[in-house]
Amino acid sequence: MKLKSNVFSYISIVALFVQLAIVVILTHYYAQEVEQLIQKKAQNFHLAAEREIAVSLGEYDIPSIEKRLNNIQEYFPVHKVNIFDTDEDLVFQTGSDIAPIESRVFEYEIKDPSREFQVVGYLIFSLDIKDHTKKQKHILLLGSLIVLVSTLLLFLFAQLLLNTKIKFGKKLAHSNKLATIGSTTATVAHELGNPLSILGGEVMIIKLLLKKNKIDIPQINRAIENHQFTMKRIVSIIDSLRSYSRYESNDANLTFSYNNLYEMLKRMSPHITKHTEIELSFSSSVIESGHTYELPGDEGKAYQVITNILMNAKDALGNKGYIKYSDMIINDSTLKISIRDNGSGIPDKIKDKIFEPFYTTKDKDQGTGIGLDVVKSTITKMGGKVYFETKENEGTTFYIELPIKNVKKD
Amino acid sequence: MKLLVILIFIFSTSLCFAQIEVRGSSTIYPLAKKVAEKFNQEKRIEVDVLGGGSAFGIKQALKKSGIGMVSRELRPVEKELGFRIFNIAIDGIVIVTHPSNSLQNITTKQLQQMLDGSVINWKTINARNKEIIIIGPNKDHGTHASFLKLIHAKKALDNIQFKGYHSHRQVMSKIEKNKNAIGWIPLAHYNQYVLDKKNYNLKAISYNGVAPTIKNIKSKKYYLVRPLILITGKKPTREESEFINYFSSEKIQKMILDLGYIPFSSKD
Repeated sequence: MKLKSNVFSYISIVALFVQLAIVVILTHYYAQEVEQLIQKKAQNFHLAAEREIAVSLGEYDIPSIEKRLNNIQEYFPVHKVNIFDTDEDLVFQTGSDIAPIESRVFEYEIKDPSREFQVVGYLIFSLDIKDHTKKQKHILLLGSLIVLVSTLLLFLFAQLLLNTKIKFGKKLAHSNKLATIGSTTATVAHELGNPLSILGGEVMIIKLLLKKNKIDIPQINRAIENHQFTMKRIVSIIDSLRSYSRYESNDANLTFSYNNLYEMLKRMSPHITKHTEIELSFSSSVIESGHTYELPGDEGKAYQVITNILMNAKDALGNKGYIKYSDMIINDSTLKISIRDNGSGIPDKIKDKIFEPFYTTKDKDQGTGIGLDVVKSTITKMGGKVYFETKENEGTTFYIELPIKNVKKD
Repeated sequence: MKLLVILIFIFSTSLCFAQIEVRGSSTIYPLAKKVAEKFNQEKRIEVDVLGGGSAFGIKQALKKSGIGMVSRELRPVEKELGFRIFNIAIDGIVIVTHPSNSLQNITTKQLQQMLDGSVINWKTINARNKEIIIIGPNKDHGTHASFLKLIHAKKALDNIQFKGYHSHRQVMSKIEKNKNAIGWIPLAHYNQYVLDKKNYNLKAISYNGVAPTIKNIKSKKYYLVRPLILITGKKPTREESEFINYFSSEKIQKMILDLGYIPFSSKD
């Protein structure tokens, strides 16, 4: 847009200059023509006057000069005529002293044919050039008008061009939006697809058990628990989508058990690394402590956030590598989760961008989550923070710090 | 439209181009103009009268077309050219000054001294401590040549002491404007433009004690006199002959007298 407007202003300036040049040339040309006309008129009078008075001037026959000048003067737009002799003494003068508004003075030698065209005096007269300069002024005015009008047209044209561009830009933005919606839909479908397929799996287990008439209560219980969790997860995904649409849900009073979340993550981990050779390992000092930790916020969202980071790690690794999930308690008040991979790391130039909305380095169908921006905002809402350390070709570690709301010691 | 009028005007003036061209002496010019006017009225023949001075009158005759006007005796070389000569009048030359000049009379010697540059200030002549400005018709004029010849000037005038002009009326106008000027003009012009029409205010100076008057010329007391002649390089055409002869007519003889010239026939 910036570049295009530069090009446009460049074109405008050039166009204006071209117009100006045309007008200048035209007016110059016309002025020259008018000038030639004036010169010709002066020349005509000079020739006629010389023809009439040269001999009389040679003989200093002043009455004859007067008579002859009066004869021709009315045919020319001369308003004052002075005849001087070779001493530049005034010989004869006629016409009004009141000069017209615009006049020009001309001076010619008078050559006497009886004296073999010796100079016998000078003819100085002023020619009324009002009509001509009027024409000159008119053409100048016309020229200025042309410049004005064409400038105006240029402006209108510019506006038209800019409007079209704005419309085009709007269209582009709209199609971008559509594309975003499309990819988001794909992401959502993918996101929901996962838990739904888990749900399907669990239902299938129960169905199989029932079919075989094998009532394995613990197994059925586990399936139902998984079922419940996955349902929660789906609800949370939908919630987060609503937050996307600025439907803010109030998680302020919710709490959840980190121990449960950890178990769930562990249980679901095969789904993350499915079809890859990636080794996903979990270790938890928190669980080992034997206490139950309660964290503020929505369990489903927390699960989604962590899954998101795990998925990102998986995507960063491609097909091979390891992801290590670990946690620790800092100062009894903060639970710190670290997710480390040995992938390619995050390049410097995109480091600052990864938490920006809609930012992705992945293909459309590869989109694994709502985005790191949502991860960040979700964790921030939970009162925690998310950050990362990365080293090119060595890997990235994401850290999530969440406040501990309650500890149940067994 | 105006341009058209101008074109027609120029075209028509060229159409009316004179059948007879008369050129030369500025002394004769005013007379020839008047005669041509009358001649045209009577005979319906256009005469184009051009001035310039006697030198151009000689040139006109040399072209072997038209009529030349000369206000001096032909020089020996000119006489050998076989021009046809027609005497039409006699005219004097009068010495004039600014009217404020106290000079009444001038002698040949004083004039010679002025013209050769040995006297350049009025104080030796009339006690005015001012430079003498000599003004007269230029070398193209018969009145110039005749005057130098008649006062026996020792050499031609150079332009430092002398300012020569195209015509006698210009000379009159210049002398009228300059208190220190002295010059000479045809007596006929003095009679016409100073005494008669009072176009110029000049003072005529007696020469060697003789006043420049027609009477003194006729009685041969005043001898700054030269003939006014018409010349042709070949046999004049019928119209030219008619025009030349027209000068001898009674009414033109009277006109010559009225204009301050002396008719040739009354010379004797």
